[in-house]
Amino acid sequence: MAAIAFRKARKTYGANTAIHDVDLELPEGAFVVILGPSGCGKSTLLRMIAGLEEISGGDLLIHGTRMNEREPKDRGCAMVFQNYALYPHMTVAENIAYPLKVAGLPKAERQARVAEVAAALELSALLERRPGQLSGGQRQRVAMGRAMVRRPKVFLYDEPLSNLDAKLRVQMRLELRRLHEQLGATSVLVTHDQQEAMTLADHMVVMHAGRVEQVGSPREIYERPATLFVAGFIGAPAMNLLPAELVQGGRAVRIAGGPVLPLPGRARHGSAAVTLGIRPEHVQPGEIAAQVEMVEDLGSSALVHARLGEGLAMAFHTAAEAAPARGGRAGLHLPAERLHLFDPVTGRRLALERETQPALDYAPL
Amino acid sequence: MVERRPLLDIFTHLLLLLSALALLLPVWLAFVAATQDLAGVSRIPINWLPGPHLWENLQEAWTRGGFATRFTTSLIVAVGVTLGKIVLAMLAAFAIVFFQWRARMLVFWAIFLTLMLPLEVRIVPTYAVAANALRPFQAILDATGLTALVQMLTGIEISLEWRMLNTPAGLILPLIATATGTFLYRQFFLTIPEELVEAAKMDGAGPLRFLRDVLVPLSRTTMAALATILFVYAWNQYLWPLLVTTEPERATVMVQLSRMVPRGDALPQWNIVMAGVLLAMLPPLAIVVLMQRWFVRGLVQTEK
Repeated sequence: MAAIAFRKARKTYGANTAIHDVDLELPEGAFVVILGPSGCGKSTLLRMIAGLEEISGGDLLIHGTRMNEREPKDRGCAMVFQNYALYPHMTVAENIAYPLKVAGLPKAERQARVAEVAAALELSALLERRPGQLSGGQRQRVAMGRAMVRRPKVFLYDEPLSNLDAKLRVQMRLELRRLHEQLGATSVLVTHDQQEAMTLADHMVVMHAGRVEQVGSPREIYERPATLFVAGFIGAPAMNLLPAELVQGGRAVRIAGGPVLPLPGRARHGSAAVTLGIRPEHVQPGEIAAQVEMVEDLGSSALVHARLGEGLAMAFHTAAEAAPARGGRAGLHLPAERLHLFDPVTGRRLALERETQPALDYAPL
Repeated sequence: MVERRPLLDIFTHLLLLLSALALLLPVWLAFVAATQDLAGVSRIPINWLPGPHLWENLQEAWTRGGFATRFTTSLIVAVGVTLGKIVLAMLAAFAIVFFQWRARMLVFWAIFLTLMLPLEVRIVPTYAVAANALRPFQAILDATGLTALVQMLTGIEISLEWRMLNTPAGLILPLIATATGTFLYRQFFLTIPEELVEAAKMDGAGPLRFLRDVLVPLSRTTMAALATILFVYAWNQYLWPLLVTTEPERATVMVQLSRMVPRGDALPQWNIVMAGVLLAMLPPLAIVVLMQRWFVRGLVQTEK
């Protein structure tokens, strides 16, 4: 059974629609990351689960029960907020114990639960401090503790790491993952940081303009982006997207005014015009001529910005030592298995029909 | 902003000094008068330096004014008004800031408008209500014909009456509505981050629980600032207590003071009156001195 399910869920503010009929199933016990640019509705979706945002239409099910009208506290979810939202006048211990206090647990049990949570989060030495006396990372852990202490079935995180500095963020990421394994609950995290999403998620939901663009494991989404938006959004630097046309009955593709590339299968599409995508890290040295415009030395590798014959921009990675000089020439090879085809009008990925075994003229990475 | 302009500094300090002198001069005169005997206080030109009779004048004023009971009445009224205003202001602001309802802005602006209406403007209707708090209901019953109907059917005449004249309730209740306090509280509540409200919702705290556990402790400094202002305001009330306490025994300190002012051909014992004034000044002074630290913090609002 899905831990959380949306059935045609909608959110409207007056005439504006923030969430368009979302159908989504989030598996139990998974670490789900909802990823999208700001304003895509990802936080709204999370707040709909939490009960902080009313659902305008459709259903929300948590563990099979319809939850649309339930109070936040009755949904079995705990939430960690972006700015932690700790009660400034309470000590760390009081903050963590507050949900239990409201629930009316006896004091002795509260203390035992707080001590347990504090030990798991290494907060035991800080219990008497106030939030104002803590560092960002510590506050984050207190917010975690306040969520954990209720032993919820579902954890909701609203951009919890975005207020931390880079180093701490990586550390807290590991901590979040470790806690998730330990607690065995379902976690749903909202972020706009794809690196965070890729490393944390078992199950990733990419959103754009109030719609779910693609759902899948981070690997699936990276390897087979379902839409142009996902292709451009996932991966840094972004995928190269070039105008192209299908030739040879869909068995090959020609980059606008440039070379013809064989495809590993046959693309069937109403019109010849397509958008061809290839990730910078999949471009190899080869026969296609390109003019180098800029070289960014990234230390472990170099990112080269070049232009193909017709002036189309193309970025690719090379080993730092093998980087061509600025203004020089480079030869590129675009492996057939690494090509992505999209319909330039709808933005949907075009599937390839495999008729014969593809000719292996490249080394699979 | 740091500016270095010595001339401006001197000028502003001079201005401050002059204002302070202008404010303190009457107090000094009252103090000097309270230390004179009858001859000293009536002398022309007036005495600028204190005389030796302060203690006996204070004693005389205390017994003649019956200040023991007056002070008790005044304290009850001032504390009652202060507490009532704070509770009412907090609840009103709570409703305006944290609940979404249709008439919200309308109510807020209505409250805001009354900021400009002092008690004196509504004093006649307020007095009518204080004379009989149930009078508006009686008026409704009369106007709708219910009184006549009931009398016709049962022979009983409905006559609602709740007299509040000469009672502490009559002194306190008409004064506790406060636009200033509501406004101050609203401003404070608006600084509470939305996430805190939501965190409390997630933690299962209902609105009243949130008010008690989060808003009240966080607004302690605001409350102290408000309490200071309001206590002094309530203590200094003159017109309303004068109207509503028709029996001299029920008077507040301020009303009593005005009664001690020599009239007609009575002996002009200004030294005794001024001693009474000094006594009347003490409680607000004590409150301000005690609450000063909180008062400043509440207005500056650094603690978040």
